[in-house]
Amino acid sequence: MSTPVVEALSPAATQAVAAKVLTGAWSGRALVKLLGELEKWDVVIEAKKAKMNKLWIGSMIGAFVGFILMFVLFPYGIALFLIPFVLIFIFKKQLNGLEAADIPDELRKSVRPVLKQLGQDLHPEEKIKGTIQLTGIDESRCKLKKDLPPGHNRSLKLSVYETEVCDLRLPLADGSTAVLRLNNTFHKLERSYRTTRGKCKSKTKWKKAVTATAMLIPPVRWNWEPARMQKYVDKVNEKLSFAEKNGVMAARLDRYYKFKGIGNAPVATVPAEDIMKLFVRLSGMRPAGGTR
Amino acid sequence: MNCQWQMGVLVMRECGMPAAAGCAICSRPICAAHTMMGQNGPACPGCAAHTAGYGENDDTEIAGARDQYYSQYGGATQFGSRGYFSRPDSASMAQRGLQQKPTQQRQYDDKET
Ligand SMILES: [Zn+2]
Ligand SMILES: [Zn+2]
Repeated sequence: MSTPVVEALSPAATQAVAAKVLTGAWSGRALVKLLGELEKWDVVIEAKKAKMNKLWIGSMIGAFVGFILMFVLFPYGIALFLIPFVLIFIFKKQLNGLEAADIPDELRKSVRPVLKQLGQDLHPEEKIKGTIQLTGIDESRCKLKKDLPPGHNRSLKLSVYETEVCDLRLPLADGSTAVLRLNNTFHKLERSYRTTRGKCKSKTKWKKAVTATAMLIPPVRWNWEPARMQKYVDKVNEKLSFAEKNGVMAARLDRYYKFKGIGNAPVATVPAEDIMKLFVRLSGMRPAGGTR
Repeated sequence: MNCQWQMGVLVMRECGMPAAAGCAICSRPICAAHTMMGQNGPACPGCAAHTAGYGENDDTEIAGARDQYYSQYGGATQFGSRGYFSRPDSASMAQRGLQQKPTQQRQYDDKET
């Protein structure tokens, strides 16, 4: 699949786009800048996609009109049909390439604003480490595919996809480490059925479940004070836990989301503000005196 | 005198650079980098974020977001006594009545299919 070229992309961004993954160590500023570049690139891709889609539809209409004219203006009219007909395939191939180059919205809506707001909290010398996926749903992430009992449908097919959007470790200025993870699970339900008029139809429904995980790993063993923040933890959609990590007790707050979509997979995702609020609450459980 | 502007959201700490002015609103000493100019005179990023007639930058954005987050979880009362906010911060937050602001949380219906 050809990757569309966008001018003035830095070597690091070009490499990330080609590999479809960002992995390594960066300063906070460098990572925010890199994600900013990818965001701009994504906007360009979106625009190209919209244009290509119009061209593709146009070529189909052209081929249809050409097909009729072909008989009227025979034999030269054949070209009027053949040219748009060939273009349909060319445009569709380009469109598929652009679809594959699309970058998940999570980067723009969730990850980058959080990194920006935590900019002053980061350790001035240490680097952020981790991985950010630049692909959405593709077959390599399919964890399950099965035919369900169709009931009154002709067929019912379930596919499950899992993506770890990001797993980042952010060293903070006080020596502690903030961990941010976003995990997506997509359930795709394809239903094929016959209408009362006997027509065959199919419908696809999507469900997207997201788990946002925020974790604070302290620099030294300390006693967390969860009592202070417990009342602010949403008992239905959130889970607070503590676990031993490298000899210290880490505090972790998970928040769960569900989004739905018909036809296309939902693009909605966790607002950056929600992620910040997970970290703020964990931070509020630090023992008295803080770590200033 | 050193700049008493508190940087950061999670790990708050004083800037500490030599102060060049005082905030006309909360009167804390501020360095040149943390001085915002506006209709009330020089102001710290926190006051600038909450007062009309001041510009925006990374500092005011962080200051505004920080106030908003903390105010939902007990504000200066909950965090200020724990050493997260400096005295001028707690005072200016109290002035703006951020402690009393009720918790607003969006609800996600987990049972929904
Ligand atoms: Zn001020
Ligand atoms: Zn300063």
